[in-house]
Amino acid sequence: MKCQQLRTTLYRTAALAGAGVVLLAGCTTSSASSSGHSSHGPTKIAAVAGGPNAYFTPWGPALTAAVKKFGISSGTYEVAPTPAFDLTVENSTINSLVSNGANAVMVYPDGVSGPNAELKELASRGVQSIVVGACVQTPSPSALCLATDTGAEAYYATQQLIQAIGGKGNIAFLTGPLSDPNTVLREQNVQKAVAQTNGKVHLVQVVGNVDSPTAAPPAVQSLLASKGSALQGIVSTNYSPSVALADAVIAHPQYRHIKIIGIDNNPAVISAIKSGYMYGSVFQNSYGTVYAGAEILKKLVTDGCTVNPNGPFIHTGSTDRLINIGSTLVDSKNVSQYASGVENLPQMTQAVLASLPKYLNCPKA
Amino acid sequence: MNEGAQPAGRPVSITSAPGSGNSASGLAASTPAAAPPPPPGGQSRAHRLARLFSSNTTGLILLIAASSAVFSLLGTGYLGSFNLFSLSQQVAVDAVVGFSQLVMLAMARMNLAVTSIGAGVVMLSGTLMAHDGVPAVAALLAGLLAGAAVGWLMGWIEVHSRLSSFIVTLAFMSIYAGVMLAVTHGTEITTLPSSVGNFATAAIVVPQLSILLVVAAAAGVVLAVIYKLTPAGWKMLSVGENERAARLSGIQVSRIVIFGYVLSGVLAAVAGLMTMSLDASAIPSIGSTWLLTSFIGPVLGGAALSGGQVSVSGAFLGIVFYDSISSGLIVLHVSTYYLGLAQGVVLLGALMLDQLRRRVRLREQAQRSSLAAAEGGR
Amino acid sequence: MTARRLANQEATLVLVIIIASIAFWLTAPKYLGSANIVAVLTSASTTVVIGFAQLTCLSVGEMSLAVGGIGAAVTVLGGMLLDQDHVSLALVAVICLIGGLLAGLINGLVTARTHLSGFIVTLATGGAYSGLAIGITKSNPYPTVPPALATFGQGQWGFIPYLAVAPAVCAVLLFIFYRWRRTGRELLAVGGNRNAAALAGISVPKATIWAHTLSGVLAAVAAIMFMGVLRQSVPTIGSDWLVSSFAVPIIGGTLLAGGEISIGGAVLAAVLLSVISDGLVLVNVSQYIVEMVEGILILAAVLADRFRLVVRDMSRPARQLRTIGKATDGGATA
Repeated sequence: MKCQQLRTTLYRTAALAGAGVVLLAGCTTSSASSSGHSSHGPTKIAAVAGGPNAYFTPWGPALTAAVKKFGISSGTYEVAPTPAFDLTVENSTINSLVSNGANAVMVYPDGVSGPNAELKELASRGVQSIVVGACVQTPSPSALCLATDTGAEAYYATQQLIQAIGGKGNIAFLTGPLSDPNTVLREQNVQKAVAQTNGKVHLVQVVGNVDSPTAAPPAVQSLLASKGSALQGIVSTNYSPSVALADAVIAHPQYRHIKIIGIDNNPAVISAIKSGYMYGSVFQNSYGTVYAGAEILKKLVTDGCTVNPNGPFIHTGSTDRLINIGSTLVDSKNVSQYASGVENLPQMTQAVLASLPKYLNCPKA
Repeated sequence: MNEGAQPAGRPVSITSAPGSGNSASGLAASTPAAAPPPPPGGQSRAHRLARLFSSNTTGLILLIAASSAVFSLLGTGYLGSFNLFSLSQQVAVDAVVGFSQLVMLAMARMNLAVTSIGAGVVMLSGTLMAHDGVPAVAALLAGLLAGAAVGWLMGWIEVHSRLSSFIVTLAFMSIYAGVMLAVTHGTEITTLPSSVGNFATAAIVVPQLSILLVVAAAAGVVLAVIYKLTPAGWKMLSVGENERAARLSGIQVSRIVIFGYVLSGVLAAVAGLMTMSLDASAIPSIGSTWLLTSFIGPVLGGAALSGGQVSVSGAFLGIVFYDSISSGLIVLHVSTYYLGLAQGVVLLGALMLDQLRRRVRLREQAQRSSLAAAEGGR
Repeated sequence: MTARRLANQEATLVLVIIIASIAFWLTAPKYLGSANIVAVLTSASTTVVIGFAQLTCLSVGEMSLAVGGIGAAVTVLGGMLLDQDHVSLALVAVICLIGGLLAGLINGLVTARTHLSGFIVTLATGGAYSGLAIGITKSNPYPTVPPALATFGQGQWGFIPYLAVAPAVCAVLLFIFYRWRRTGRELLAVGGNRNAAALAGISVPKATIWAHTLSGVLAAVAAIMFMGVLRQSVPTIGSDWLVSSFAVPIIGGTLLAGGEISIGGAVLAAVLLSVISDGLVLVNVSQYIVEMVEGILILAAVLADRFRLVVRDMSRPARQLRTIGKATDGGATA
């Protein structure tokens, strides 16, 4: 009985495998032509966001605008369906878009070195790629990285905070997942800014892994409950803790002596800045990232440009191909300019577009 | 202080197998988990297993074929070699993750620590490979051993504390991930031997099939052999079906449960190492989707959450079906923000269709043999 | 015997909470400050309602993977109404609860009618609900909630946050339902032994539908609470509810397999989890080991209940069982 059943299963498996191989072999020939795009053709862009997050909201409109403005053949924007920013899910999203005909990819990388394996696979199939919003480790098969300089941003925010608290006192730092290498980079730069005060500023607590709407409020409340009276400043480099901090100072006047610098454009953050309860927030140039990125991809694919390795790229610990798309501190003085809440810094975008000839070697038209 | 009133011997408490007749069977709703403890390896179970295999396997093959046909007709590129190749890579990893959970489900247990084990093993192997000049093979073996060891530890704690596997593995989910973070501080390791990265990009037979499928198939065959041909296999199933009966019939439940944990740990380690090869680096954040993924394959394939049933081929086909839906909907250009909605609706719709087919078939069967029907409805 | 087991478990949880609190208080005196107690109770309040949403499903031996999805969908529903249509808060709350009820009802109906497992059904519907929430909002939050809801989320009365009213009411209602209502007892009977319950004339589909519907309502309650806590409607809420939804009832003594629940245990488990994560911030544990310490503390807490058994087990290995085993082992290898 058992033997017979096993045999049946084996037969069935073998038949299934055979059928699969035949099916696949059948489509090999038909699909071979879809790969191997060469330069100088139309640019079909796929823009992939790392996961659902309000930061990516301007990406769709920015891509649409860029496609129209720069005469790009087509642009598709997808958000990888992974709240956890999982690399595997993101890769399969990219793969599906490339299968669908995209020959130029810009992607928010869900990892620092992991995406390189996928980008290599893309390159081997003639697909040009750039990483946007955050960088991957170089050497990388992607042409370049267009992003805010994460480390420099944290350094800048901390410096501003230190200035705001008068150059001395205790500060705390709230940040995201510890397995995210950007977190490591941010912490190093916060430490660096603190170290430069020669002991006048103390980083009394670092709370990590709180970048989710469920995890951030309790962590912020615990921190304020224990250290609220002893803290002069708090810097947050991630979205959810920034929102939770804004909520906390709106609700609890006793914490308003703390100078807080957050990140991004959540309405609560904007409102707390307007009311003077929160010192400021770092705005990233989310719109411009994709707008300028689309133009770069078009130059790489349609115009046949190549990256100038000696261009004025920013070199950080992990990448030597960074173009800074810019970020700015929004505080009570300039918050009215950003009341719409869209993370768009058009002047910085224009500056990057104007400087592209330094980064790219293009054939003379 | 507690449970003083329990008789000596093993009190049937949290750790005990779910009571008879728990509902949670997967596709195989027509075969509720059996109530009475049949003789291990007896005719009735073999019979039921056989039916389970055939019905789920057939259903899933039909579903996969139908969805592939729809996706390739409606969207371009679904059957492109690139899409199928990357799909096969993903299926291979997810299948092994599913196997890791399947082993536990068969014993009416769960392993919530699959992600943490995978990530921990990857970081250990990666560290060894990159920094200490250890040969790659030795580092991989060390990773597998580590997977076995952490599985053993959880199993040992479970059988000695009689806590539910859920709680034990929940705690170890944090502990293993925490140890890994404490040691690595979340730093990726990128300087792996190039052979590691090259392995996952290799194809086999045709350019659409990743070599990782071979690894997954090997793992599947080993599992199938264990469950069909070895005493350990049916002992694990007996424990899953009715732990008290298994104990009464002389099975050393503690030992077999720990064996299951070790097996699950090794399989999670294998999945981790496959991912390491895919990423060509050791990344501490791998596997964040595994917890859910690990259940999807086995449950779609007909494993009951209440234990005692196992279908290796079903678990494999289940994950093929699920992953191909995800991939296909992106190819179809479903509006990006509605992808989650579409995925849920398609999955549910397909399963309900399959259920309908199954019911019709079952009715035919029932008419053919009232005896069989009586047994099936038990 | 069951009652005794659960009572023991609850007593142990209380003991563990007290011990942990004393330890944290000795290291960080602010632990017993009113601000911190409010912080712990706020976090425990939301956690316990998420746990209740799973507990009702567990009571009939079902599971719901859709708790977070329903939470997200209800959040977006509420946000839409509050943000665009200026409907009164009370009406919005009622509509949200009805929305949660309907979402849960769909889960229950599909599960009961198709005979698919609730696990698979809620896997699919949960993905659909949260996908709907993300789709409608493009993951942008609805920025404002009425002041009354914000006060509910962040206000306090002495040591007690207003928010704690919600889990208290839910706990009492659930207790009454499962202890004294016929339907509630039927749910437990189905969870305990489905076939026996069916033979005794209890409708299994009806129990399944009830369990999922209750779960949906409770997930909606949790969503409304978070709208108050966060002062806005965040569509990605719920993405990390899954594990805690199971952890709370199960650490509290509810059986994963169904049939036995402990409402008080769930409350205590939520408090314990909140105490641990709050305490670790308070005593400033390095962020790189905080996760490890958290896991060890949870394990230690649940092991406390089992301590006596562990000792007995170690001193007297299962020798008798092994001798019994010899008699029949091996013979059945086909």
